[in-house]
Amino acid sequence: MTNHPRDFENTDVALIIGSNLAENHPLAFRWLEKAREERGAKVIVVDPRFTRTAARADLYAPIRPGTDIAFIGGLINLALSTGRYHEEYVRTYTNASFLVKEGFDFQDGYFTGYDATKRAYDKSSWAYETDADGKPVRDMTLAHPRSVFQLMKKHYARYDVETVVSVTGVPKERYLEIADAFLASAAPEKTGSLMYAMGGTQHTVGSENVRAYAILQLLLGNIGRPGGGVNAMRGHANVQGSTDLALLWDNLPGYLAVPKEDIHPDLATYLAKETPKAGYWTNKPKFVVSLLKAFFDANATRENDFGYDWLPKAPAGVNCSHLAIFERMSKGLIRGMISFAQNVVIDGAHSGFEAKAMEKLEWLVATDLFETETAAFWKRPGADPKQIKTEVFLLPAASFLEKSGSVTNTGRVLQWRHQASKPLGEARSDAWIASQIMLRLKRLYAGDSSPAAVPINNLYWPYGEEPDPEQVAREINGYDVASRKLLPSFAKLADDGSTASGCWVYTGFFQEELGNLADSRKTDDPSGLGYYPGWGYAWPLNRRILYNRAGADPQGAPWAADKKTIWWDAAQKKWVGYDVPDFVPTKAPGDPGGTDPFIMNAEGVGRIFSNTMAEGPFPEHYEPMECPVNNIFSEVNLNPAVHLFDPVEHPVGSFDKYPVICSTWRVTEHMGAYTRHIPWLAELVPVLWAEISPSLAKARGLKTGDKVKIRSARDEVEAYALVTPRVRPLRVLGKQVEQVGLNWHFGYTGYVTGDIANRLSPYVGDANTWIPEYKAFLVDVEGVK
Amino acid sequence: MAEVSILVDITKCIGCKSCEVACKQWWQLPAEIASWTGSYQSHSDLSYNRWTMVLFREKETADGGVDWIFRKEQCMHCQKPACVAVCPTQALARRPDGIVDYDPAKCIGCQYCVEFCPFDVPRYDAAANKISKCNMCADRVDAGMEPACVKACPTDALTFGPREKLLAGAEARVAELKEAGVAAQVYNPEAVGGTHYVYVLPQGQPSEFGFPENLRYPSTIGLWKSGLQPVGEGVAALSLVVTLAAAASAAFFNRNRPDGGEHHE
Amino acid sequence: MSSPVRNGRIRMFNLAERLTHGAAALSFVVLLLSSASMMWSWARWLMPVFGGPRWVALVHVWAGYLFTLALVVALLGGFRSWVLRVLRWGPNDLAFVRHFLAVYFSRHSYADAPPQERFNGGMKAWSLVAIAGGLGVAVTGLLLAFKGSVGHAGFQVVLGLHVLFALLLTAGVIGHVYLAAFHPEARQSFGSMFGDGTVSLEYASTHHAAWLEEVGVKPQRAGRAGVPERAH
Repeated sequence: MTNHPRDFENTDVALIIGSNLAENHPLAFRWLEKAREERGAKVIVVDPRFTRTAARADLYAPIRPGTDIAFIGGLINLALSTGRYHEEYVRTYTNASFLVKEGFDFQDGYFTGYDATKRAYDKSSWAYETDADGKPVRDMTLAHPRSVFQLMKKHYARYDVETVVSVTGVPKERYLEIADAFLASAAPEKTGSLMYAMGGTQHTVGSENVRAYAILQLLLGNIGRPGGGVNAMRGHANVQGSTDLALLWDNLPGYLAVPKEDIHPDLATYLAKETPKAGYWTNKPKFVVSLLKAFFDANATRENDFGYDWLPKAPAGVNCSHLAIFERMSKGLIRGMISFAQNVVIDGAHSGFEAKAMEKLEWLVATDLFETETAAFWKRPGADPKQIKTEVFLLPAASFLEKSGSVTNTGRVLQWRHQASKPLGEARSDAWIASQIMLRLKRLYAGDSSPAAVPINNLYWPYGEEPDPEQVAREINGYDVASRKLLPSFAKLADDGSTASGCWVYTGFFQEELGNLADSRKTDDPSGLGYYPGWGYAWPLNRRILYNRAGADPQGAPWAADKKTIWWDAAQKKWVGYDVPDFVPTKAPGDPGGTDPFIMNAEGVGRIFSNTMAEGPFPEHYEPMECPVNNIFSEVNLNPAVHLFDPVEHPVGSFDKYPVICSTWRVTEHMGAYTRHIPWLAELVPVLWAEISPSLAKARGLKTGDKVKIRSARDEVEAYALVTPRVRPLRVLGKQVEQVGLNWHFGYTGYVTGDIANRLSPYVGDANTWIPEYKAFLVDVEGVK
Repeated sequence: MAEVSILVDITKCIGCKSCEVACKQWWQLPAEIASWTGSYQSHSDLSYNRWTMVLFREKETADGGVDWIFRKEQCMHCQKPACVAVCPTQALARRPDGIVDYDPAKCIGCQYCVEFCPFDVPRYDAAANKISKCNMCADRVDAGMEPACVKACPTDALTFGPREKLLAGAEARVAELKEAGVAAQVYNPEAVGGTHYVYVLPQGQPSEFGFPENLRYPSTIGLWKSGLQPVGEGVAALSLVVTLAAAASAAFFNRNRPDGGEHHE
Repeated sequence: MSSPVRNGRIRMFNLAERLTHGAAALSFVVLLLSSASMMWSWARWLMPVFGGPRWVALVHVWAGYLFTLALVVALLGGFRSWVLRVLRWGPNDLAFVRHFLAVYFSRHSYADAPPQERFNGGMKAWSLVAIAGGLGVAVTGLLLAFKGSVGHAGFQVVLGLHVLFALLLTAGVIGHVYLAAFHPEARQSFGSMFGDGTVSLEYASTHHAAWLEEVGVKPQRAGRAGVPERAH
């Protein structure tokens, strides 16, 4: 997230959309309650279901799952049509003033460049008009018809209130109340915070949902400022850390792209293709070479491309996302799987399919606290263990209390945790298990010079039999290769092989003089804004709020006296303040680029218009793959850039057969499938229930406590009916649409058991990230006699 | 010793049940995996091994919305605790700091507290022949810590501290809420002399939050303790005195008997 | 019909009566002492006798069941021989009661009263107190033991009444025990009730002359004095 949970206390209004903040981030919600108590902040919750977060909201609106872009698009339209946007911020800090090349257009649901056979766009028309020097042309009056501002205005003019409320199902009065409350943060002295989570991302338009949030926040001038931000509420204590360290399938550590076989044949090509011409990413070669040095150490030399050839490359045309992996696994193309704390039988999409796909594995290593549903997939209900040849190795893993190491929370703050007790029994840390696997591979391949052996033999693997987490942390931070001295900042990284760093964004958290800053526990807060700069270490470079140059006006003065973050000190000729400037510290507001706060973008400003997305430069509403109505914004129902999997293997349901919208979600009492193994937590929510509206219950003759069967086109599950006025049918384009919600915590192991909700979910993902569409699909509900 | 209290601000409670788990963990109370209650509420009732839990109530509002109420239930630690008045063995005792403490070693399982508690809190276990209830983590308080539930509360819906300070805080919070248009009130019922669990309730009657409809200190305690029992004790004592006098008198009238009054066949 | 007198003794209480009385007496003592150990802190030292806090209340309840059983058996089994008799009052009974205080304080002898039946006026009065008090304490005790039947408010009232009945009964028991065990004249009946059930003809003659007549035994020595001659 751009800000951090503690910063919620500085907000004037919070829009929680696609996040069940109070239930899934109770400690973060605390600061929002503080903002309400002390600043009179308004809390807005937009959620299909009246959740425990909604119970604590000032304004709640139900929304039809999968219609966030319509909802936010309507707010963008209202902001623009009524002048409720932060004019100076938009003009200066965003690309609103940039002109888009002639030829760009949006017609009938498609942007220019669509290739229906490839289901992909040629994005060459999604580009800025440039001058003779290749610099984007700007119209600071924002009046040019091809300015991003005017294009945006035109695009979202279609998102008028009447259309938006009829698509989303949000009651009109409530929608306008919410608009008034949140758009009030356009005032320069006010800020609004936007929080989202998987309710926003787990859609075929998930990434564009987040883009929509970002555009709205740019228009309101809420990014880079205390109490503002686009704030991804990441699932648990270390989701941020795991993505920083390359959990994402298309990333190397530090958000560097995984090299592809066809377009990245060597390091030079990779760097040429992946390094932009301007902005901070021009330093990318330093990060890549330092990463290779961390991987291969002395074996990485300029002559051998620093070992670039030894990196595995993604084969041409092969997607390596979760969905694609299991698709290939089902075809027998994957021989083995090592699963570290992953429980795909519970959390995979169309998870019965994924469990079945695992039967094709020759071997499975399941590393976990105990035997999860995935480790026990071969004896799952309905499976015949005799027919499953997979050899399963269950490795007992140490819990987070039984090992030391850092976690990185949703606010990007690294915090070191010390081992509290020794692991039980034969349990070992993940680091130990990983290290042992590699040590044994190295022994196995010793003296071998086959292509498979070379990367293994060249890999720098100094961790030994008992890996020391601090040693790993030092390598992640990075060091000078010759002296092995730790580096204080990624600004010191070089592309000549003289430095090494396992994850450049973390460089600086472990320093020679200051030691392990993730372990720092200073509690002073000079800002009074909850920055606590001495508590842990917020990457990058201990910045608590990203893009904080935007927290000051173009001249360098804070936008608001009670929300000062950094400001320009003309006497000292540098940026001063409470946070680490996310900016060149001595670059004056009047210098070239002195008003370009978004330094990670080549153009230096926030992108209202972006050419990085798969399905278009502006977020456009498309319906979920399984939708109750046809798209009324265009003829195109489904996001035209999503990949379509085999509809025979993964049937798609239609509204006439499956007339109820379903989403899967969590409850605060459970964490994944794990907590059902802990008696004190198992007792809190002992069964799988389905939340059903009184009207649907009446139509199906159900009451609370009845067993119900919920069927999608793919599978069916049983649950207990929980009939509650908290779930309401929605009026959508003149139809009454019912919805039902299921939590996905249940499975067949543990103290309490129940059906796996994700057996129902569809096998389709977002066009950019391939995250499955867990949050909007169709089912039917009937009582079990 | 200054009195302590716990303030429960219902407007900040998110119903996460951390307090339930923290209580079980601190006191090492076993889990009770029971049949489902039909709501988010973990169990239908308090029990011998469940000293606190969050009540979940749903109420449709006039404007067509829903109020979803989360209310932590446990011993209220009355200023005038009926349980202490009726406990024959002082297993229940009101400490100077206002905590109504409970010593299971002294409990004889008579269950008078169960019958007299105006909030229906103590729970009896036949196998142990004891009752149990929240004692506001008196052990932690004595060690300078806050009670386990307060410690675990993520949103400061629970706060622990000197009673006067918390009461002032509760009043201030209610004033704040009233300003925001919420007809809030402090729940610190006078009927039991006030409670050391003080609640800030948003609009609505206390009964909507699961508190007793007509809370009263049981007048039967007076009938028993100041009426029937003293009368009975008086009569018994009188009988004893008269009988001792009779024995003395018998000794006097039979003083001349050689056998000292012993009867012989 | 042969004479009921054997070896100069006559049976006053049969085995069933003695057992029933014994059960009632034993349970009463347990009830009294166990409740005292619970109710009054000065008697707390007695609690270990009843198993300490873990068991004392349970012992009390079970003793209460025994007491109730003994009472019910006495009332039903002794309906004619005891209940009806103690309900029937004649002039001699009333006359006895008028003499009672003097007898109680040993100012006068039993013999000063008119001839008494097997249950003299004092015994009749005590029996009525014992029946009333016993029923009161037993019924309230049962309601407390099966408290579901009365609800919280009912329990609260019944508990007070139970304590009252128990203490009133105790007041009577104090006098009863004194007379039966310590009173210079009456205490022979203690040996009878807790012995073989017989009293000496001499004792019966002086204390229950009307009864002897009823069963066709000539009192040993009637007369105004009625006071047994000191044998020695």
